Amino acid sequence: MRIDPSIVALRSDGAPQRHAQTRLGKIKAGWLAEPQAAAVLRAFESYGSGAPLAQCPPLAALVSEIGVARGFIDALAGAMVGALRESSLGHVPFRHRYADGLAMLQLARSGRATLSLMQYAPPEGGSLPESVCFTDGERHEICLAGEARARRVTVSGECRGKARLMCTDIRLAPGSSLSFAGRGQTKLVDRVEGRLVLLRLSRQAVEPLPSIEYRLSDGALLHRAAGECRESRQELMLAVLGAMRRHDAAPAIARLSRAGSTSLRWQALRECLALDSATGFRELSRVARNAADPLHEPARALRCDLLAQHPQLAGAENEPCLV
Amino acid sequence: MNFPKIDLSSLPVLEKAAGMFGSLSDAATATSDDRVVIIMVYLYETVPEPLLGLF
Repeated sequence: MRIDPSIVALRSDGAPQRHAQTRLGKIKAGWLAEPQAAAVLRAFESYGSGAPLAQCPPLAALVSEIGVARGFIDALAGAMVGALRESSLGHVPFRHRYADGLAMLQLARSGRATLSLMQYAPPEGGSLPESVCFTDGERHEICLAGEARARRVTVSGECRGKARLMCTDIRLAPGSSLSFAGRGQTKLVDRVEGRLVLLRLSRQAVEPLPSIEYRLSDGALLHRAAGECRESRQELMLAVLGAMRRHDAAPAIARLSRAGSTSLRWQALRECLALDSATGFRELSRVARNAADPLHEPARALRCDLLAQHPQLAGAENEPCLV
Repeated sequence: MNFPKIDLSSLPVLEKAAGMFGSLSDAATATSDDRVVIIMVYLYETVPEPLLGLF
């Protein structure tokens, strides 16, 4: 394995790394304290807690006026780049990632909102997108640098189980701003010339619907994913508790099956039935009895199946509910 | 009363079950898309997150 000499040097002396981090941290703190950044971030907090963008003027200007956006980013990027030139192994003190042509820096997060700086470069594979994904929330973007050919994709209806996708060509250039609301619209970047840099403000819906991915060529549904991270985290926790046979968690899992997305609720019902069939069956019956519950039909069918296989479960419904 | 043990794998999954947050199909080309971009923390977190619980 080849280890770069500068990394080897760090192993014997960690001081330069700590020095670089301290310096980058100070740059970030100085930037946050500047009047423009501070005003934007105060507005960002209001937006993250649900205020309409129009009621957050510094933030609205940030994603619609290129002069404002550039002033905001240049104050940070100039100082950061200068420090990184001198200490190239410093970590930029923001969450960041890079994958196949797309780099992003998460500048701020508050409530349901995030503010990110994104850079698109032509992907190494160079292939055109085959699918498009719609997520539930609103996004406001402004192009800071570079140019690209893109498409605004809208779901205009459904036909025989397939989505009708409508594409409108758009050209992105410095100053272009785009807004998307809800799960019916998104954009695809088809071709980037050089580098495309966007500032993106996004806010998740209060109760986000699952994200949906369609095949571009015919609108066929390819994939559905949970709309929020918390839900998947809870699902993973359920799986761990189930695998550990934690019977003592059954009452809490039963409570989890009463609110939230149908996907998570159903998973909670399954885990509860597997951990403690009596508690799980009582919850299942509760859902099956409620015709207004979106899980009414599958719960009713499963209840019938389970009663046929295990008639003694009928007794669980008469037992006192301790949940 | 004796209640049965039920095997999790014998219980049906929901027809419209959703995959994990941020998961995509094989056809996905996340780099050109507008979908939610998730920053996954693999080793350590430099920006601490509030602790979240299950219940």
